[in-house]
Amino acid sequence: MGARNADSSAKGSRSKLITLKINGQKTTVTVPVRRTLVDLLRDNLRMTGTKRGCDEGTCGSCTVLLGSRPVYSCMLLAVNADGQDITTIEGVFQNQEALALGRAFASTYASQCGYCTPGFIMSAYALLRQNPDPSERDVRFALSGNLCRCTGYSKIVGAVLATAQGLKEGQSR
Amino acid sequence: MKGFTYLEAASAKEAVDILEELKGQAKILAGGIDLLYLMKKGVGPKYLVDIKGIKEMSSIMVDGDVLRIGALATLSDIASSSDVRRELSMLSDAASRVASPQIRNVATVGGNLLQNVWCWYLRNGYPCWRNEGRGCPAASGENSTYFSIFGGRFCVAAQPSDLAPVLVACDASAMIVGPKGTRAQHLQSLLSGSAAEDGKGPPPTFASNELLYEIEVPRLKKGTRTAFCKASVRESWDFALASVSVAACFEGGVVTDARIVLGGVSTYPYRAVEAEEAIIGKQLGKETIKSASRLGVVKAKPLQMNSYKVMLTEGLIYKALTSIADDQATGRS
Ligand SMILES: Cc1cc2nc3c(=O)[nH]c(=O)nc-3n(C[C@H](O)[C@H](O)[C@H](O)COP(=O)(O)OP(=O)(O)OC[C@H]3O[C@@H](n4cnc5c(N)ncnc54)[C@H](O)[C@@H]3O)c2cc1C
Ligand code: FES
Ligand code: FES
Repeated sequence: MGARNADSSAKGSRSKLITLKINGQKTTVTVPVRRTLVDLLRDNLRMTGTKRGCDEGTCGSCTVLLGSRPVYSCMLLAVNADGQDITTIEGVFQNQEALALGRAFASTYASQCGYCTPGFIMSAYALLRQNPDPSERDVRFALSGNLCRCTGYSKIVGAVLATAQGLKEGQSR
Repeated sequence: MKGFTYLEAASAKEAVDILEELKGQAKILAGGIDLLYLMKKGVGPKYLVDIKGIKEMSSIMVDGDVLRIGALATLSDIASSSDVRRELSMLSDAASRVASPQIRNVATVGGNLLQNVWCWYLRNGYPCWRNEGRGCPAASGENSTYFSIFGGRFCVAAQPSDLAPVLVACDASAMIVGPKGTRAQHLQSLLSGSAAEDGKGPPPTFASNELLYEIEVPRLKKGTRTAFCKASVRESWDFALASVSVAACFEGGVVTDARIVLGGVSTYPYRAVEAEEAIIGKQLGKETIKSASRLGVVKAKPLQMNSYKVMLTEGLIYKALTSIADDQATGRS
């Protein structure tokens, strides 16, 4: 094959045109390849419900759903979300589970300063979608990638369990 | 975040061609968890080659006598795979305790094995030899947590992967694609590269123009029992201060073969050979377990701030062997 010029075939790019489906809505943007998804959401698309806390994968406040799975949007390049379904806190309340979670968080003081709340709602919603009848252990495990500096967690775990219970009763009624 | 140029590879061959052309300036991008963390601190390559488009690299399957795990399988894929749970429950256990759910949904097994070390100095951009500089500040600095108790030639940070010792305990091999084709290398020798050599540079066994394609794990022999134990400061989101992975084969109540591999305490997955020898040919009674646990750390030479990990590791070996002995006694599988 001989030595090929590095510039000719392996040029690569510094920005890319991507298409995301965010909360059901198709969005096409050109992003610098080094932009993370949380920066794209907040700084370019002005969707500031998703919070940027630590920006290094250690707090969970930036959690969004990629497909049905919760991920840290600060640890994902926007180009790696190309072609995928993304759900953020702005869109999740279209679903009854999330709405019930939001109400339970508000009424039981599971949200205090509120900075961690969007991330917790996303993780809890992903859990309830996958397992509508979780044990306390399941809830703690599913929320183990989210930090809260205010509540001490008990109220959050309680809110998720109460939501699951409420949804179950609602169904059997 | 440090800037870079982005390339995508649609096949293993294309990825290797690109790596070859860019001669050491490029790195593979898998889940990106480790790369992004470092790039945000200014540590990173000029080019990233995204391989997530190579779909066949995410599969997990039983194939005759081996379990094949594609390098792009995520830690969540591994934790939830029924094949892995049935064939190798300690790998499911280890995978489901890595980091946090959000990280496991993105991080891949290949990236987990090849991630950089979790040294405070490196992670804050200090120019040690791993970051275009020289020396190892941790050797005489803050080395209380994720550092070796078994020495280190030019870097004392521990191999951070929780999956590495588990896979080494099962004698797994890496299938590696390079410019000259595919080769297999035992994971143990692949990951020992950085520790064993002359102290002048990064791991020599994994070349910058190679791609980790998949992990091949021999299926456990009949009568094999396994256990994984990990000690960390926090339940989740935390690396092992020490971990122990055991695969022990029994015949008529006697151990006929055993591999005991320590994680988080050495610059590579450390086979505690003395402990293995202490249980082979014996029944796993309390006294045998006790002396094997002591022998497992007999070669320890802790650093200034981590001698507590010697006792911790001894205790973990004890715990892992005891759980295997209990399973054996009750016939639990
Ligand atoms: C907060 C936090 C907590 C953590 N806790 C733990 C823990 O408890 N236990 C644990 O084991 N890990 C832990 N980790 C580490 C985490 O598991 C790894 O960062 C992750 O698995 C890396 O996988 P990735 O696919 O994202 O790799 P990437 O970041 O994409 O790649 C990592 C490295 O491997 C190379 N690479 C990746 N795939 C290939 C391939 N197929 N061929 C050749 N080279 C390749 C890349 O070039 C890069 O150098 C933690 C990380 C964080 C941020
Ligand atoms: S901002 Fe992403 S995990 Fe903290
Ligand atoms: S409510 Fe303040 S951090 Fe959780």
